[in-house]
Amino acid sequence: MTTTAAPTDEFNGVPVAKLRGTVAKLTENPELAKFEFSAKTSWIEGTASESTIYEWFGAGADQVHAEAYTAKTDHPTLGHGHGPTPHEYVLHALTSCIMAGVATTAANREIELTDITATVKGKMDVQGILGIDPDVRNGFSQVDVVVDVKGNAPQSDLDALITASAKRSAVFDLLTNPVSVDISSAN
Amino acid sequence: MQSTPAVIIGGGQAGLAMSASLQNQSIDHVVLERSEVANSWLTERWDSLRLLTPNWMTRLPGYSYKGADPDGYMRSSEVAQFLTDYAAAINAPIRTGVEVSSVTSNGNSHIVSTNQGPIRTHAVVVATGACSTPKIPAIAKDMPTHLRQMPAIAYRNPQSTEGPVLVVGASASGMQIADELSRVGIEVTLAVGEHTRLPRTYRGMDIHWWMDTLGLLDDRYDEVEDIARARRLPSLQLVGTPEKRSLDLNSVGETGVQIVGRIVGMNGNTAQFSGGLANHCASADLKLGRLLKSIDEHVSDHGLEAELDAASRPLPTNIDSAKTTVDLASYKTVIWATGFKPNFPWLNDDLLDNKGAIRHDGGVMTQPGMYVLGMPFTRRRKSSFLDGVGPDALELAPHLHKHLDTTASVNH
Repeated sequence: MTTTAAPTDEFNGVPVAKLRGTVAKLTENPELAKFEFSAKTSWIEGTASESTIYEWFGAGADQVHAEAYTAKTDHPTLGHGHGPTPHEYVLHALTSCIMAGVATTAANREIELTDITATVKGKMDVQGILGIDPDVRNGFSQVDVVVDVKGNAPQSDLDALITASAKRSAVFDLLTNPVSVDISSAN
Repeated sequence: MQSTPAVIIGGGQAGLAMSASLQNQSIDHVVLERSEVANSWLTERWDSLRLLTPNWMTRLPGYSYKGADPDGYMRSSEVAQFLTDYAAAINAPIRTGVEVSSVTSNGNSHIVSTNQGPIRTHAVVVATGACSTPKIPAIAKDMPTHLRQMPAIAYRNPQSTEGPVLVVGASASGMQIADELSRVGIEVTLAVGEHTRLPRTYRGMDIHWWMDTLGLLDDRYDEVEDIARARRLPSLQLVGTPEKRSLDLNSVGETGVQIVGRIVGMNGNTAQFSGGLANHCASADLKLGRLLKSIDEHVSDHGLEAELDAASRPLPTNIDSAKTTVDLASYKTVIWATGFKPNFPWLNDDLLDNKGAIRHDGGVMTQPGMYVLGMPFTRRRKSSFLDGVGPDALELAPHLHKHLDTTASVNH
């Protein structure tokens, strides 16, 4: 059952040898592991805006994505239908980050996946963001994710991929742990 | 200058095991101990502490437990006595009160500088142990000044501890301390990160008996998938008590301990805890389930069902909505049960990695003629256990012997 991926092999669509090579390279040289990600956001109208995500820095050099990706947000009742809310993007970011982790961890463990689906729900008491009750927080009070992983391994091994993925997930970490955020004027 | 073929630094279990192993190879040596044999077992353990491994799991080269209670767990004073008796039984050439200030190497010759003068040698074994310098997270500096902070090794007993108490860390130390404080009615919050959950007994046998029987403790450093990770794993959530009870988040929760996630921030008096606790618990429960399943498979493969209790599964870790902030204004004490860090100011920087740990391959250091013993997973999963350092010493002694033969031939 065990097969070792050749350098060009993809497993679950993950280039395993490249992944392992990157880990080895960054372990050797931790300076190369210092990345920076960015987005540029422009106001469209009302509660709507559009972000462009293109440039990033990593492995010691400026990098760009394959193309300039865009994402629009708006408000569901006060807006004009340009897109989902920003905090829904956070839910999307969480499940997709966990999913990427499930796929890479499975590839690393040489487990073939046939399907992954996830549902995420974020509870929010909007008395916070509307300024009605200062004791209510603005953000989600509880986030629940249900992940369904299918593949050629016992279900307990497939479920282990979920906890392992969350453990190494950037977005899971961002949601569960505080980070220092500095917002300042450009002028 | 004094001269001897080999110098062992540290007179605890690792140093003594290596001393016995070098005697097997007829290699002259000295064991340098900064204070007394088994010093840290006498001075750096809390009053109620007992070994996590049963008494029969104290197999050292040429010596083992012969007492009346092989399934019991030694108190730390008994461990100290056991090691003192071992030192006497093997007639270890120990010099106590000798503090090492540096080791310098010139080709195959090493100078061990001490408070009692330098010693020239061809081989050095670092056996100072893995549990001497507490690792305290940087966040400790942000704690309000009204709190008394201490590492787990400075904790003694509930009587000398003022509550409420924040215990940080849920390996054996943090769990045992939180448990005993809570049992006498002291208010405790326990911050829990990655942890390893284990029952004390399974199907009527000690969990360590199972791990020994299944060979899990013998996993080797050159065969595990990720040795760096294996060396970082937190200690097992266990306590050695006469009644052999299990110690897990459910049991400490039942005594009234408030369980929260890993500590991640301080904002004035408010401590912030990770919201990732449930994932750590799910991960620990999954790993526990895998271990118990492999035990059950071993039982059925060997037809042992009739001799053992029936298979069972502990309840999943029960965490209903842990708090992510706790106001520490009324708290009196913080106990950091957050593990240990390497601390080798007396070794050259080029022998250490970027975290200050000794670079080694199964105990063979990068400087020829230098060895390290007793670190987590030095050569096998049980390397840092009283029962695990012996096989490491017995394997490294011939390597050291061969090194001495090489240097001798070079010197001729």
